Amino acid sequence: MMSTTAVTDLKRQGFRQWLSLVYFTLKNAYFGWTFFLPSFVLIMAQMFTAAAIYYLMGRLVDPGAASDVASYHMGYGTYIVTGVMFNLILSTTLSAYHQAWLSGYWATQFDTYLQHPGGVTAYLAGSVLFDYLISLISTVIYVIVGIGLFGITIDVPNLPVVLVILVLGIFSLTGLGLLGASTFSLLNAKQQGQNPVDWLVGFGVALLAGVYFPPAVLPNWLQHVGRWLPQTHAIRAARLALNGQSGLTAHGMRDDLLYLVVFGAVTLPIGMLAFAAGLRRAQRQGTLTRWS
Amino acid sequence: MAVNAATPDPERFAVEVYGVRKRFISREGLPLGWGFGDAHWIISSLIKYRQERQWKNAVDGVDLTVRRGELLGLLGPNGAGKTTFLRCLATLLRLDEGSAFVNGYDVVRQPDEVKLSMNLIGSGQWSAFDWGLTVRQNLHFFGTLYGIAKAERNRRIDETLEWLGLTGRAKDKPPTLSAGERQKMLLAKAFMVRTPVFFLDEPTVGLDPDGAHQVREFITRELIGSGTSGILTTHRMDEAEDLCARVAIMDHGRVVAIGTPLELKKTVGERSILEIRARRVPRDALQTLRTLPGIRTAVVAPAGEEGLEESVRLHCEDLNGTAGRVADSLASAGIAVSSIETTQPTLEDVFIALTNKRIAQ
Repeated sequence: MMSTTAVTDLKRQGFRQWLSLVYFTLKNAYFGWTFFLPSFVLIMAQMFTAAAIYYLMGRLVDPGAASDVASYHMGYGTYIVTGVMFNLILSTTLSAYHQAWLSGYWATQFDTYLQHPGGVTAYLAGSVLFDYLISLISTVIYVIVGIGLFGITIDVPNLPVVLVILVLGIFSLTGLGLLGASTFSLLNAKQQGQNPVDWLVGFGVALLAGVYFPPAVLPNWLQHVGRWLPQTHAIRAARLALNGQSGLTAHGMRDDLLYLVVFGAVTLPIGMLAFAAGLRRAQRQGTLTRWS
Repeated sequence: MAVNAATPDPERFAVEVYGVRKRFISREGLPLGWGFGDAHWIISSLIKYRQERQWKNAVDGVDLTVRRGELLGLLGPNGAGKTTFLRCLATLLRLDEGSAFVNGYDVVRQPDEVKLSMNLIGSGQWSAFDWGLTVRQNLHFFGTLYGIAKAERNRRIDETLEWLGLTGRAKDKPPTLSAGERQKMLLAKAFMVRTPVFFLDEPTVGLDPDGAHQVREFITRELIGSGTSGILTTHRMDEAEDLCARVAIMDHGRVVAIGTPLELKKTVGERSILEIRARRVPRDALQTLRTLPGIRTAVVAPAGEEGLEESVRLHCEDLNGTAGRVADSLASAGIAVSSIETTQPTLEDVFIALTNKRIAQ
């Protein structure tokens, strides 16, 4: 029988134990992803198809026809693919926390994880990491399709700068992601597609943030609205950095990065507070678990 | 949150509960099917927000202790608050009032220690298994959760699978297992981890008689036999009586009686019990029985799973002539009775005497 000393010893394993739980969650998510083989194959095929569609759309546009795109020193195909790739990772930040909460609840994983110290946070961390991993796989597929089928050349002279922009983009949106996740409990948003933050911000991004076309083609007032979105700044900065046009300290880039930092610094504490309040409320009401 | 200043005595008690209260807000949202699509939850939330809060006490001032090495039975009908109570002790729910200690740890202030001290095994909780993992991988997962080293984990898994007769299913995934085998997987978790305290929430529900017998055998041999302490919730009187040294009876969130089965039966006092078996006893006939002289209570249990007969238990002050009057009354109502027998009080009779209803209701 386990004595109270053994319990204390077990608790001392703390962070190491938590990391092993995160790792296990990741592994389980992978098993879950590949569990239904036909579905897994279809998902992979869809990723390839989506990448091919964007490259083909790029071929349809005459380089001279998109003068706003030309200012980035890239063809429309590369423009749209870079936008989609970055937006994929940024939108993962926006949706992954709510998604992790949903799967923990509906797949009854919280029933098990809640019974262990740090279990819920380990589950959420593992699930969110797995979502990033899937986004990463998608971006790799975009690159593979680009090189293999459309003969594009990849030349990223300042990869570290691109990575810094990516990290800042993720930082700027994490608060909103956590805020969205908290609605599971605070607003009872327990179904897929009910995350209101994802609704509002995600809807605006496709139109305003320059993922598919330069914001310069939008009416002035919409451009103004688009400037509030961190994605607009992150994607623009990433495109400029990708082809080596701008370093971190270049004038336009600096403003974009500063916006990302400020936006993240303001929204992250709000998101964390809302998330903690949501967890507390769920535990008070017992709405983290379904069966036990 | 009001928490009293109770001091735990972990040397004597595995579980101590003082004045625990857990309440929920009861509010009705928008009925499903009103056709608002994705906007349904927003409108529903607004409606709930505007409603007046109505609180319902799911656990209402419970006081009890579980001694070291003791398995306490918690008996009560559906909705009595048994599962909510266990979830409070397992830190899955926050207490609203009172204080509780598991293995000497405060469930509010030391939730991590409580989690590591206990194992909650719920009926139907097998849905919490990872269905993409094999039986063996799931057990590895449980072992990892409790920080058991890999070599030791493998040893315990082999031992557990063999004991529960699941060795041949080690590479299978949960969807391919029977309900009984899944329930065994839950017990395998308990077998592997061996925490000092167990909470078993209706562990035999949904199992066939053989499966239920195996589970009871496991509880007797591996948990009670090893000096482990815990709480077992059940609807089944025989199970509580067989496995538990003491039984607490719960109704509407309150513990209405606690003691050994013998002590509890004595509380039925001078009442004698008549049991009637009939194909169907209409409610008006039941009402008539209640008005007969010498009868204090008459409660019916609907036809059970076998669906054959209803059983009516009559609590009588005096048996003299009562059986005859009952038989006459039923005959005049045209009810064909299979048997009328006097029986010894059971734990169910204790419950009937306390609440005027049957646990099975």
